[in-house]
Amino acid sequence: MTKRDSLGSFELMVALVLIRLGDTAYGVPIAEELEKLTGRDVAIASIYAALERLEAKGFVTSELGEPTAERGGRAKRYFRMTARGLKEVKEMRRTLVKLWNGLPELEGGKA
Amino acid sequence: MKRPVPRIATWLLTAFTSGPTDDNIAGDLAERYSTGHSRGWYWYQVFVAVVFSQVRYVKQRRWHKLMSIALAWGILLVSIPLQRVLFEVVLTGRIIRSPWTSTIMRGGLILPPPDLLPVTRWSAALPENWTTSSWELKHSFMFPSSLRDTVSSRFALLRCVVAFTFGWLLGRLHKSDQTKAVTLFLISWLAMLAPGLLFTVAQTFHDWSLPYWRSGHFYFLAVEIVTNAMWMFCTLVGGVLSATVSRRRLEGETR
Repeated sequence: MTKRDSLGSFELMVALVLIRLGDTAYGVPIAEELEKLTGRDVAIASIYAALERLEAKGFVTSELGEPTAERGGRAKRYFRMTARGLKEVKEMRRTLVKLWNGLPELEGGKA
Repeated sequence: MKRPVPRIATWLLTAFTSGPTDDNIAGDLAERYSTGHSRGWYWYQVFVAVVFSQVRYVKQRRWHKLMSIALAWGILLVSIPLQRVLFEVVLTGRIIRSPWTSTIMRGGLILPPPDLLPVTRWSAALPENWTTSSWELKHSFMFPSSLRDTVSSRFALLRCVVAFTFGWLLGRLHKSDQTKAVTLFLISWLAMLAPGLLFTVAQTFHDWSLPYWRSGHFYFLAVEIVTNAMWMFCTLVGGVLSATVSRRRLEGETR
C-alpha cells in the first residue's frame, strides 16, 4: 500500500459515513451525519474534496441522480464505497486497533 | 414555502466555480439552506467552495495554468506603453513624449500605472515633509507637466476602463474557466505586490519622514493600496462579465 493510496483522517470519517448511509449517500446527508457524529460544522466543499480524492484512489464511485426543484434544478451526486474501499477501511481499522491496544494512557478516561 | 438562497452569494458561487462537482455543491447548499441554516452559514460555505474550486483548478493541468498566468503578464507588460499613449491622448488630446522611453527609464514595466492623481490633487493640503511623491512628480521626466494638472477622477475612470478591458480580454482568451484564469492572474499580482507592500509598511512605521521613498508615509501607502485594489477589482469585473457572456452564449447554443 503506497502513501498515496492510504486514507487520511477526514477521508476515513467520510468513508465510514458512506458505509453507514448506504445507497442514500449524497452531499447533504453525508454532511448532516458527519456533523451529528463529530459535533462540528463541516463545509460541504471539504466533503466533496475528500470524496474526489477517495474516487481518484478507487475507493468510491459516484453517479448522478435526477435534478430537483428544491435544489434549484441541480442534480444530486450519489456516492458508494467500492469493494476496494471497504477492504481499505477494514485494513485501516485493524491497523488502528493494533496501535490503540496496550496504551494505558488512553484507557479508563486518563489522558 | 421554499426559502430563497442569498442571490449574491449564489451568483459568486456560479461565477467563481465551474466543475460538475461545484454544481452538486451548489445544489446541496440550496437544499441545506432551505432547512433553516443562516445567511452567514451560506456565505461561509460559498467562500470555502470557491477556495476549494480554485485550488482544484490550479492542481489540474498545472503547466497550462502557469502558461495562462505568463500570457496575462505578457499582455500586461506589452500593453503598458500603449496605456501611456492612451492616457496622454485621452487626457491631454496629444502624445506628449515617447511613452516607450519614459516607461523603460522608470523601470515601470512591472509596476501598474503610477499613483499620480491622488497625489497631485491632494498633496498641496499636506505638510511639506509628506509630499515626497509630489516632489517626484514635479521633477520626474516621467510625467509631462500637462498631465500633472489632470483631473483625478478622469484619470481614475480611465484606469478603470483599461483594467476592465484587460480583464475582459483575459476572459476571452480562455475557452473555459475564464473567471478562474482572471482570479489566478490577480492572485499572482497580489503575490508580486505583497513583498513590496510589506517592505513599505515596515519602512513607513520605522521612519515616517523618509525623503526618498515614494510611499514614505502611510497616506501614500494607502493611495497605493487603493489604486491597486481598484485596478484589480475592475479587472475582475471584466473577467467575470466576459465569463458570464460566454456562458449565456453557450447555453443559448445548447438550447
